[in-house]
Amino acid sequence: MRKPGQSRSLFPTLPFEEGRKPARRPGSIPGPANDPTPPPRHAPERAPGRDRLWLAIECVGLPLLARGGESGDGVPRAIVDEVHGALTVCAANAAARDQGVKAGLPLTAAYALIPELITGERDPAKEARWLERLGAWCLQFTSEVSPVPPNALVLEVRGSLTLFGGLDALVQQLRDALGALGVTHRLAVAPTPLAALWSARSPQPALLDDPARLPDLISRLPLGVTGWPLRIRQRLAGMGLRRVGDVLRLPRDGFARRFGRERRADLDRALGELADPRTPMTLPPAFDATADLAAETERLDLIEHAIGTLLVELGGVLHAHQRGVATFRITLRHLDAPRTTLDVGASQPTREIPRLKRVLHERLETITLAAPVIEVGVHAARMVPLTGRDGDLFSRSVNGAEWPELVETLRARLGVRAVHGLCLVPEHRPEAAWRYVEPGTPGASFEVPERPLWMLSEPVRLHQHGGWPRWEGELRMLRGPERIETGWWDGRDVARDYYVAVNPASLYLWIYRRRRAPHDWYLHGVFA
Amino acid sequence: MSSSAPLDNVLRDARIFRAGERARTGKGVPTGYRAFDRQLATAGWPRASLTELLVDAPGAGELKLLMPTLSGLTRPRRDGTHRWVMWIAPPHIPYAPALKDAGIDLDRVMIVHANDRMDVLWAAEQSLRSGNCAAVLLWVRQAPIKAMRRLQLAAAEGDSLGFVFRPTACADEPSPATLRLMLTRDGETRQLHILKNRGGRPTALDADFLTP
Repeated sequence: MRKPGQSRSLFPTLPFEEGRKPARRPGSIPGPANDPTPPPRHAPERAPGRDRLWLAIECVGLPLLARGGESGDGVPRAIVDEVHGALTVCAANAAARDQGVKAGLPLTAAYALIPELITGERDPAKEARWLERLGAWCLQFTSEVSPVPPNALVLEVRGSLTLFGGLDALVQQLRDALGALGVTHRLAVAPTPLAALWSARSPQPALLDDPARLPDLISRLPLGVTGWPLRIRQRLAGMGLRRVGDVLRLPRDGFARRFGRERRADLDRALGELADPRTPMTLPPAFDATADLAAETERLDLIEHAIGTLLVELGGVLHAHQRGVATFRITLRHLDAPRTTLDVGASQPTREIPRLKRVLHERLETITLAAPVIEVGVHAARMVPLTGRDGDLFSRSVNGAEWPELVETLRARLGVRAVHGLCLVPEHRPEAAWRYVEPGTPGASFEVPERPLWMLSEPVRLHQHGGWPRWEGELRMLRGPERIETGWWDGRDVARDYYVAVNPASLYLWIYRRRRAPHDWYLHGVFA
Repeated sequence: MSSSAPLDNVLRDARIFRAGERARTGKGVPTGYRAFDRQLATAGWPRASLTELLVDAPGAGELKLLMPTLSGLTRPRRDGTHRWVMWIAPPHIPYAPALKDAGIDLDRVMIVHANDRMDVLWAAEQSLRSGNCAAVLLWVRQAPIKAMRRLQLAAAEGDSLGFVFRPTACADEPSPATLRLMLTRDGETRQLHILKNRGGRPTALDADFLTP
């Protein structure tokens, strides 16, 4: 998914350069009423590649994710950590959030809200591994990803904009993909990595693509986003300084002397006045990921869901690599039994997540669990280059042999019951003369009488005028009656006289009259 | 006499423009209605692209217009392979017995239900692009031009015929579709308007052939 030949520069943009193009995304952040930015002059376009754009992702749910993520069982859970000597909630699952428990709440207050709250301890080592893995996964969106411990990533996205169809489209796809992984996150875009990070941590993360508005964005941010030590922030607050802009107005040297050169350097980096090189991470040669289950379980659906999330992650890494896997290994860790290992194989190397999930599902169908599972893992040692036949852009089969994948893809988003095939049923009742089947099921074939192409899912009762049916005007009978009288054996018997009728607007309708009292009329189909 | 036969062959070539005739831009998929084919720049449905069909209430002849085409498309091809005809978010149930009667192989028909407009457009794009579908029919009221453009690209990529059904109120909106048609009924007469016909000209024809 990377754009080849993407240009890079070692230094971030200087935001006050002249000759800048007009704002590309007006209104991304509210500008001051009296915009001090001078109108763009007629100057040559800026050199390509210098204009960098950073996207920061703060994974607010990381502590929860590292300890099993959403369990899907509706049990409220929270991860707690010691903050300034007090046990504090640092992440909560959806069930707990629904009842008001959120990050930052003291544990005692959380128990007051939900007495049955289940808590787990924070695991920083696991969080760090998760962040690394998430970074590798993000490489499908750009070639430049840098983890910012403890819980953030910065991505250089300028080179990816064209590929993804613009900033909004890229952000949307990234959000959707993170959502699919179950990563609750905050996301912001800015011309410097630090500004993007700070903005992501702020109450209103912005998508800012215009360096001219960077100082304004930064000035509005509360000082808390800087992550500076608490005592420094408290001193600043004591001086009445609450926003980054307040600090920017202080004399440079005085500020650096009193609060540290590093603080002043942070400000300059955020503004793009000081280089802020980030080390891009590279892809690991093999994929190796584990996930805790929120609770020990024997339910295969929960286990499959947890592994499925790891497969989504694997799919992202494979995309970034332009690679696929034919086999991967699943491990299931139990508390009181030796680890279960399952080798899973697809017919061909693939990076398509629905396909990986399908082979997983088929494999899990065949096993019997030895004991409840507490942790699942996915290991793919051999990631083989794909020849370009697989993947979104290339998975077209002009011979039509791979249509089951299309069905899988559609069902993955729309649900299993959204995709059907059709077949005939030898049955006189019109509503029972057909049914939905699994696509590709060969159906019987026999002669059928004249029927309309559209059938209403429920017959609509027609108004009558002088005992004659109407539908947007008087109806004229063209053919009929065709008597259909059947079905008494299953209690859904019908006794109807069908007609083809036409209304004044030249609409050809298939209507029937019930042969039993009250002999009312119904519209059942439309000839189209 | 013998010398005129090669000339006729040359003149029959779609790339040859003859005075008094419309330019023909490649051979399309025959619609099954000669009079209609003659009005189209591609002498049929434009291949691997999008056709927009504007129709207000179901029952204007919009399905009869497609039946000969769909019947041909669901038959196995020379190499023995089959492609699909997708129906995405149809307004009513496509009635299997009538489809069968129109010569359509039901084994190659897929119905996709989607309520949300974005889901409809997404499903259509996936289907068009997949290369598995000979034709994709979708019903959608509003479609941003960007989305229509994506569908057009997807149709080209998957070598598929896309048919987008929309209300006639959309007639004035710009559209990237290669062919735009509108079906109207006025009393007994049906008209098939060709609003946009890339390589040809807009026109209208009597559409009595669509009367059931």
